[in-house]
Amino acid sequence: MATFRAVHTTELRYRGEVSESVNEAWLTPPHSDRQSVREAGIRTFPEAELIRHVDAYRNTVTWFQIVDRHDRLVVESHAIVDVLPARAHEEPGWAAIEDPAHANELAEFLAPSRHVRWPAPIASFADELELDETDGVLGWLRSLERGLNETVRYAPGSTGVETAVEEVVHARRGVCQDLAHLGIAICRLRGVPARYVSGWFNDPAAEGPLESHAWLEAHLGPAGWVESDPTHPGMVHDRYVRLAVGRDYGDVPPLRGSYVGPPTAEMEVQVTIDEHREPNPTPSNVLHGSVAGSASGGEPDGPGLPDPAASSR
Amino acid sequence: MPDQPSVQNDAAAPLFADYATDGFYDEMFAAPGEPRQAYAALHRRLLRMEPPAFASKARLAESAYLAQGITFAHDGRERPFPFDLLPRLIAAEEWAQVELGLAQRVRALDRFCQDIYGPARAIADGVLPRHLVVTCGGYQRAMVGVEPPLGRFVHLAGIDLVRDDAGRWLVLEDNVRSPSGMSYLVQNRTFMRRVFPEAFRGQIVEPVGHGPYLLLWALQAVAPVGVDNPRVVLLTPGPANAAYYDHAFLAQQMGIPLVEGRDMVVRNRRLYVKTTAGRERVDVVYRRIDDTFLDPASLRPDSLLGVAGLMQVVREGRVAICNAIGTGVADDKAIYAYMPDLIRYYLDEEPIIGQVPTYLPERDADRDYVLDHLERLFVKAVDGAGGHGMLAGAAASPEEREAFARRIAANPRAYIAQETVKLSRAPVLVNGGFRPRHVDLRPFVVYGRAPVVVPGGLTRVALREGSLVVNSSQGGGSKDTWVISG
Repeated sequence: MATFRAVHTTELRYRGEVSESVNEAWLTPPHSDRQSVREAGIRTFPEAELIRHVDAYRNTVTWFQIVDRHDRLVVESHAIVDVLPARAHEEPGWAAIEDPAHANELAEFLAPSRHVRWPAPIASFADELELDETDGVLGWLRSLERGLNETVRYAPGSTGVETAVEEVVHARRGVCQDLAHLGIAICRLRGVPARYVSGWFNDPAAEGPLESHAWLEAHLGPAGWVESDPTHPGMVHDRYVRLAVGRDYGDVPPLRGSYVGPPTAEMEVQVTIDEHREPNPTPSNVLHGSVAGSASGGEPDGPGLPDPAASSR
Repeated sequence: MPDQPSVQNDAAAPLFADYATDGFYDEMFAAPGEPRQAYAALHRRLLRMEPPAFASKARLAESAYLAQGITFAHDGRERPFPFDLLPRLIAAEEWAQVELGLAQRVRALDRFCQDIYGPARAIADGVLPRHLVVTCGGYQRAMVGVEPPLGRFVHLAGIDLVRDDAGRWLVLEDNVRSPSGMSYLVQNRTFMRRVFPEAFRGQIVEPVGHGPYLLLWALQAVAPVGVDNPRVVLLTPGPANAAYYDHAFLAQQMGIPLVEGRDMVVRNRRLYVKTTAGRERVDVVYRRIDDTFLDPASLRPDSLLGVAGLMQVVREGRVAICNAIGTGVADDKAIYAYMPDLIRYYLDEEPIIGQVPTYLPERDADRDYVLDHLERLFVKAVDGAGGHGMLAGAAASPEEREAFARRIAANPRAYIAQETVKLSRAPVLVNGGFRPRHVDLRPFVVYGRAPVVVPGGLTRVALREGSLVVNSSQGGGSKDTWVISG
């Protein structure tokens, strides 16, 4: 088990004064059998009253409105979370997903959704991966994870939140969100229910910036939800903090909203995540051989950033 | 159909010369020259009328419609909504049964919405499959767990009814998103009384002019708890909308403000309308814009029609949206197929009004049947409205059927198929004489504390000979509808 202290900061700077800003944030880590949340909170600048509700997928959503004029919005989520490694699973075999009752129960994770669809290019891309089906559905999922990782180059800033999976297949590069969407599309195409997981990843290999992260999980019958991260294959360790699940990014953007005023000039997302040591409540980023990092992206539509389409009107 | 036997050319009744009644249930005639009882008085009056006199009244009604600016946008053009002067009559005893059936159906539709956004008991109990619900275009995840005031989702329903060749009433379609047309129903009666007052003589015709007040009464009834004198507004997308006439007329009749999204604002998680006297709290919104356009922050980012933050006010039950967000799930034509079961499940009653036998191609057995019998079936897109995206198998060419077969095979969830109903016909004035044309009926049910049906409804007429599509956005016309009690 590891304990992390994370701070996820989103800063939006506008080209002038804006008002009537209404936002929703999926930035609160839930309790689960993977993680227990010691502390979690959200702050905004300008300050706003924060109203919480639970969405259709049991995620905690924070709603707030800022009426007065402002030219900058900062939303900061901070949490201290104990994390367990992802469970090791037994191969349930293909029969696990062939039960029609299973398909009915998980229908929304089998149907196309806003960012997950599988036109012909996706199907031929899946064929091209030559995924190994002989070991069963879990083996297939692992080979999909590796296949995506080897075939699609992880290239920060190469895509935006609205990039279609077809484009990712065509360009052979993308960010974690694209890899997750593509993996989900190939799962659903194969009849394996799959959904999107948004969260934080403490990347030991990262030298530069960390970003908010996304991966996927597939429901393999008796094995339940099995996580898979095509960006970092073989995620059997405790470096992931889960924030929210949905059909795709569109259900669980870290932050989205609308306002009245000029377009956004700049958006910056910064995620810092440190291992947290009990006796010393002060966060440190030099523990365990520099697992700390901070992400700052100037890209206006990088992963995990507010949906630009949601902005000005 | 010139080769069919027809009413004998009666010199005293040239309006009905060559009027054929066979092959279909005729609303007016039990047999050639024999009007049904409800029509007896009207028929006698028409027999005494010279055709030119009737035709001139019809022209008068038409010009009155144009002068009032009653139009419907069709193919991108504003057109007058064609009005046929001969009313469609329904006997009160018969109507009483229909009324009960409609109220029953609307209660079940409302309970269904409440259930699927709440405990989803019908799914857990296996009445209908979960996948059907969550893949409905009208299913709004933002409403999961939200309980509107009184728990009510459906406040105004337009239930489309048809009559088959045996004269049985059948539900053809449920419209519980944002049914339009009540203004036409009220105006048809107004023009009828103005142009053809003598037709009402010696009859007791149920009034319909109070329809908008019934609606207002229902809207007021669902105000959030603790609000004594609720402020109700009608939210329209604006004058460019096809049904803007309907919006403006209803707002005026109900005496409530006609507003656009930009006229309202959310403050402290309550909804306000901007007025010259400052901001006024809004308790009930009769909205005529689609679900996802209601809130750009939570629903559809590119919407310019809604109010940012409205969804939060809804979640907290501080405003009633009528109909509630998410009712479109009950409009899905695949859900329609389960309505008889849902009525039994929620109400523990047998359905009073039947419906058209419906096949869901997403069920393997149904799909085979549908693909094998396309030439006799009616195929509809599950989310199709306004008569678009459908195939009338019997009238279609082999190529059209083939194209639909491919679409069904590729995406079976997107379609339903129904047995073709031989819709009843009623006389419609065509070139100075009456000709039979297919009709349906859209009655309106308002549901505040209890469901109430506006007597009769909007009878829609397929103006093209033989056409079974009566939708107003397909160039259909309408008739005044009388519930006759003596």
